[in-house]
Amino acid sequence: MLRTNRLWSLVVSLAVVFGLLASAHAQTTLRLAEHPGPHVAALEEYFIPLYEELTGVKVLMEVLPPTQLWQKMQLEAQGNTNYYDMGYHSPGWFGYYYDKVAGLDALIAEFGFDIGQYSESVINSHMVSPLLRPGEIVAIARNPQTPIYAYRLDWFEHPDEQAAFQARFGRPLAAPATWEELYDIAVFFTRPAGATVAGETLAQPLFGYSASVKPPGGMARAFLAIVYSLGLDGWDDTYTSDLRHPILLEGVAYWKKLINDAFPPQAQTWDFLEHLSFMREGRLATAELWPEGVLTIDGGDAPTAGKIGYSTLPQWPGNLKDLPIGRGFIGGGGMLIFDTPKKAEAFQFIQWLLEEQAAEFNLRTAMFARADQFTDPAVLGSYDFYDTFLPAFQEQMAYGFPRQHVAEYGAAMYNPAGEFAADVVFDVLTPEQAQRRWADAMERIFTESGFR
Amino acid sequence: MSSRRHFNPWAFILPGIIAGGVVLGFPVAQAFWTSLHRLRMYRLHDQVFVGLDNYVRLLQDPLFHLSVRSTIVFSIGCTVLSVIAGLAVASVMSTRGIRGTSAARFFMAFYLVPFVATQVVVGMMGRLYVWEPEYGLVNFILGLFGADGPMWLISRDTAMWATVVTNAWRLTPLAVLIFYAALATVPEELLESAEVDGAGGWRALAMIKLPLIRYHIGFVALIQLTSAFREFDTVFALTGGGPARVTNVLSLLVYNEGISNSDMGMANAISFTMLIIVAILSLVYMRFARLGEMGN
Repeated sequence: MLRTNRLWSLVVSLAVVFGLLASAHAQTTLRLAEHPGPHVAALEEYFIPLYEELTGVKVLMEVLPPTQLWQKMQLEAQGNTNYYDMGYHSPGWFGYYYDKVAGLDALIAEFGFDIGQYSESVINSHMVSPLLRPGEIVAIARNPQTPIYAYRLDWFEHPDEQAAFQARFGRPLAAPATWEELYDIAVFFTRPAGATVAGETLAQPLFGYSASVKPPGGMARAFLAIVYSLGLDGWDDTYTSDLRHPILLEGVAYWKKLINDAFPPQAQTWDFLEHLSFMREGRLATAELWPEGVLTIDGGDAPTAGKIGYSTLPQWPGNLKDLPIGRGFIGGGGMLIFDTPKKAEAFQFIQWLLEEQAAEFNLRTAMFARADQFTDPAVLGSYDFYDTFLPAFQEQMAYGFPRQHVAEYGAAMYNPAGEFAADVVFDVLTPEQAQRRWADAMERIFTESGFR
Repeated sequence: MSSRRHFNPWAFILPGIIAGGVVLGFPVAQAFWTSLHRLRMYRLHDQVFVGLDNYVRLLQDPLFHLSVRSTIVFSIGCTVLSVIAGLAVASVMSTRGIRGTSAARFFMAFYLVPFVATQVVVGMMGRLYVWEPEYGLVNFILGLFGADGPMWLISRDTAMWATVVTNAWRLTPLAVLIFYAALATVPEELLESAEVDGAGGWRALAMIKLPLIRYHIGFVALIQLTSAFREFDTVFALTGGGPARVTNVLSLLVYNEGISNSDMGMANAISFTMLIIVAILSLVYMRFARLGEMGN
């Protein structure tokens, strides 16, 4: 009898264990590699729990700093581990794993995703890759963006500051029209602790301008706004570098002066949007603003909410393309799907998030990608700052530089841009040495790849 | 009979040779072979033999020379500091009256914490809690004395020293353990005789203890030197190689070239060069150690 009971206990225990294992195995789990940003909290606290509740599909999100993110995605993809099912899509990174990403046309046809909601320029910059994956849609855009200029409107409008600026520079204090004007404003607002700004005494030093410039990734992201404002493309149709042009030396000399005279020293340890926290704390007067950081300085709980002005990047007079304003590259990103057995489930999650929940996603993140987000009254009425932010955002996007769709972009352009700027700014190499190093490396890479 | 005598030793060491060949020889050979190729992370299927081209480019690159200099300063700094700190701590712990007490045992366990901590954690702790200019421990202590501490990891003048101190802190426990054990082998009667002859604590240390444990000091120095030479995690987490590449030691250069710039051929060329340098250091040490033994 005892023996029979033991046998039954064993059978029941095994059945429970196998049942649990089977149910765990039956549950679909999707793994998502994500970039930091305002969407992370929205995904973590709202969208993912809701999706799991609605569908029973489990979504595991891993958020990594930008540089580590593309490197991990690259290593997992090249190792064919199927570790990530979905990932953040940056057009500049796509070359690192372009052959491991699922084409989306069949899934779009099967599930009926409305691509018509995306403008042609967004599709071209963020959803296709003509050289690497010709004729295919490879990602869904989520927050295409390009940097604009943000400034403390309340300080700019303060009579004391207006008068002091007028007396020093002979013109009214207003958003800069040129990069040299941006420099003037930046040094004007750079003040030690104990000085005053807009009638208030500063407890800590105030800095005039900043971006996050940790080399090489952060520095590249910020410095490329100078490179593209100069009218440089990186290379021409014959894959000959245009970086040997003397205007690049003018640009980097300006950048060095701006960093040394107006940036907080900590900026060189910041990777992406950290400088906006400084602005939020009242320690920074003006800043480069990648639009996905706007809630940091103008969201409801920010001390600076309602005190921020927005403008396009200023012009570089004499730039090689006669651009009327400055420009950065069209960055931000979307979502791509790796070619794993769960790509259909991953696509369904993305469709639910970016199409069915498009308005809710925008309300929670202030990220724009689809046409209906720009016209939805509920979206437009959700933040007061949209009145001034969206015109600057949209005008800047019209001039944004779409990065070339080559696998070599990161190795030939992005990473070396950060190294070039950092090596000059911090006096590691002379500007001419650094310029030659960058241009030579770029052309060697294109020669190796058979483009030249 | 004679052939059996020759066969047996080889039979015993053959598994070791095979295991060593597989786990050590193969990766080293693979690294050297890859260093002779052009291999980009985004074109892994497109490997082209380029001979010594990567080595030629490497030797012509001023940033490589800068990294070599940084690595030498970092490695020697870590070695000197950790050996001195290790000797100091081990000497105190070996002192009569302290040795073997429960307090000594507690402090020995306490000193092991950095040794067992993950290197990245050591680096992150250093960056966020020790050297951070506004809220970090060092500037807090300096502030108690009315001094304004520098931005340790951001200033070119201080970043290397902050990095050296952090890594030396991590390396010191190994030195303490070995020196503590070594000092225990110093004959008690020698120290008592020295005491009778009027030698104080410092003199006994300098004239008796240190000469007797000189091989241990050499051994620890070699281990620390080669460990610091290869160091990546702590430096990466602490400074990322900045500011101005001041702390961009060779292992970070390998990472930058291989991962950030996708140039695996160049990354392997740097790695193989590092291997050669470490091997030379080891040979030099072994040579000196042998000369010392012959001198005795």
